[in-house]
Amino acid sequence: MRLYKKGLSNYTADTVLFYVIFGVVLTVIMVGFMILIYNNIEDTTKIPNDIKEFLPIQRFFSESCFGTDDTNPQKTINWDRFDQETLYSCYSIDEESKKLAFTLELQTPRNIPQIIKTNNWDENHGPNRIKVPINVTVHHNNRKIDGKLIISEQNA
Amino acid sequence: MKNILTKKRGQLVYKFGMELLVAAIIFLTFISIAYKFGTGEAILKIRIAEDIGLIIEDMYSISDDIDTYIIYPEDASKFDITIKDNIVSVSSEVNDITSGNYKFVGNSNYPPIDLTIERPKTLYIGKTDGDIIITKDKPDLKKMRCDEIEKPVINSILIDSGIDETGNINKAELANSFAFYLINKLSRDYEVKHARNDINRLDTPLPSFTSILTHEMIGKDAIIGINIGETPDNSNNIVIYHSPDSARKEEVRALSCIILNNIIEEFDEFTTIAIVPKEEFILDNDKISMIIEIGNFANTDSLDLIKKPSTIDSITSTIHGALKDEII
Repeated sequence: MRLYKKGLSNYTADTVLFYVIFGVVLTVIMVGFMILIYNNIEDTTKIPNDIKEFLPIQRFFSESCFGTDDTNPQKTINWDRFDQETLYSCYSIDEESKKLAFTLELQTPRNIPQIIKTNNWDENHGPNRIKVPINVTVHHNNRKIDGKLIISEQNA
Repeated sequence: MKNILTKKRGQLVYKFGMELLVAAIIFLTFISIAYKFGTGEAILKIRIAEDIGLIIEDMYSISDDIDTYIIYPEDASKFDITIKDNIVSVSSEVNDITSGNYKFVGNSNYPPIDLTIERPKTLYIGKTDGDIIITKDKPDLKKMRCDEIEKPVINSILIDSGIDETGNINKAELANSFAFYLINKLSRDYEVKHARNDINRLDTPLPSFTSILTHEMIGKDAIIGINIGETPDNSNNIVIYHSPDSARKEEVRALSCIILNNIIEEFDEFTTIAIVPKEEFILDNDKISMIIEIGNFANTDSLDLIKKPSTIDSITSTIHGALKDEII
């Protein structure tokens, strides 16, 4: 096979154009290859939705969020800590994050419902899912009152 | 189009060689990536990253310290694990193109996690002193942090041991051996009684003792239950249970902490120590009450250890020492 002629370079890979096209094509192939593979393995390593949603909700009831040191911390909420600032600190997430976003609405018979949202909640879209209200005990002014926590989710 | 190189034959051959080299590198890169995906290495890295990230998120959802460590079950010894800016990254080499990454949701109430662990043979994950601990070195379980409290006033102690819900006579006898040793030691400093009146009554089922226990608990300052653990694995733990609703939870936890720290210091064979809230009949909410669960009846090595009179003597001495110690 002849790659070149004497005194004349007709060797294909000898031009700037070739290198430009080669670079573009290689990049496209490389990116396509990676996308194909990552799409292929996404299902294999996908975290079940139930787990993705269970952990943050558990966190909301911990003492670092709205929980109390009550003996049944899974269902108690400290009314005084139920605010946007606490939520931002215990669920620290970028505004653009595609992780689960939550709106939490705490309802009690005696108070105006409190609504707080995680930093990545997109105001331009509604929730993907609204969970069944969770019956909670709300600690407020040294009293315990029954309440409901309604959790809405985005990116679910 | 103007040629970019000269037209000399030798130089063209050299240039072709260079291009062949580049092509070979690209080809080998693709092969390497394909191999990593094909063998599952890339998937494993993603899974390990996700696992660790989820465990961290789980730790964030627990209010208290767990005072023990999880041993991560997957083999991560071929990888480097980096955690920074709430991202877990698992890689097998520098600039690993198939590294596994997982971004977890942070919690500003905890110190930020910033660490690199190189090829851990074992990975320990725990939470102590309000901090998430991830390490490849076996944590020193002797370092359980004990709260400082005022020494509780104890004059009378009720000891309970014997048949449990499993109905295993041999296990009950072993628990009674611990109780017997403990009563002997405690009686030097306290008024001590065994709850079931006759320590040798092993054939009576546990529910029959309920009324006796209720009666015996009256007027006692402290109640100590002795159990032998039994789990179908190779664990060899010492766990102290207390009532989650106890008004004296802090005192019980502090005492338990000292007892466990002293035991683990003497017996390296115990794999885990823990203080766990549990609702049990004898765990009275107004008294210093605890159930000490020793070893694993289903583990031969554990059983051999806890059956030794020297072990029983040493563990009961530790419990006695912790109770009478002036400084807690």
